[in-house]
Amino acid sequence: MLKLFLNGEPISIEAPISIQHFIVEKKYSANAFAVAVNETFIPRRQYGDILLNEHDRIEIVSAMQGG
Amino acid sequence: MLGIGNETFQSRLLLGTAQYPSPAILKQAIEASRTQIITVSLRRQTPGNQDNYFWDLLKSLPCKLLPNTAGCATAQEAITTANMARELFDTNWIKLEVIGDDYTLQPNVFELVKAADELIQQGFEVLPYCTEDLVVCQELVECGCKVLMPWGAPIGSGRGLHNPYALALLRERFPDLTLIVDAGIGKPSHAAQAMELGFDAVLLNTAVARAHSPVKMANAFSLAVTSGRQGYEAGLIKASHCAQASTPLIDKPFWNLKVSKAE
Repeated sequence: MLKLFLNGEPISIEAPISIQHFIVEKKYSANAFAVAVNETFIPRRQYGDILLNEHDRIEIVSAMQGG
Repeated sequence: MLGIGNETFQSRLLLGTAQYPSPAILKQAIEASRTQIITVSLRRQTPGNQDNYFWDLLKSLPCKLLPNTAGCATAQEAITTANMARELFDTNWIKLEVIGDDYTLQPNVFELVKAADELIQQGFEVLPYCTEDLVVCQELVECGCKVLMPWGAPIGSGRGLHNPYALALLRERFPDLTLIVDAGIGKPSHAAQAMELGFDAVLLNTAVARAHSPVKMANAFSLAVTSGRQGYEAGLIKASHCAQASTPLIDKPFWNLKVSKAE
């Protein structure tokens, strides 16, 4: 099992998977979120190319009210 | 017309979308304010959360979205957040906030300039939330900012314009830049004052969202911004220490009878 952090919370995955695979598995709404891994922005077109690894810190954000 | 980037807007009021009692009141307040630009933010989304009523509401509004980097404390954090916002909201506009002090939410101007410099190189239209410090504003302009958004007072404080002298100086020193007072405005009269100083627009949130009637207050701010701008364009008279009679006194009855108070 690989230990990662999703939005600051510890989670586990069985093997390295792509971001694309990860967001489908976690049932995120299509096109209504953006992703950063280890404080680096990941463009949508790269989701299929990047594998999540042990200790990665994934941030998935969506629109919120703001001032 | 208010110009930002290559776009123009009739309304000179930018409105925040946070802290409203309900989504319905937020929508009504946006309509009552007649704003064409609203600010939005990014927050962590929980897995499996398919409902995002706010996202649906945004898509239904005829407003330009201005995402912010609220809560960021470093240039790097703000740069990453700006990139996430650009993709999510499909805009290269960013209200750049880099906070340096949790108590006053005063911008960290050193990190702000660093972030602005990088984001402009990445093709962003940067609207920096800054202090009224002239040299900081010069640095931001130097790195390519076409808009400056100095605070009036700390965010959400409702204290109005703490330093109208410095704000007026910014107008004088940057006659061609788009200047927007962002934060600290509490009353419609504060917004009118900013506009009378020659600012191009004001950005506010709390004063409307936390009012007893946000919808009525949104309308009040709309009127104040229009009123202040028209006053500025009409040409305000210079303040004077002495009275200047507005009614002509020549040929007033008895005008030539001099009465000495000593008699």
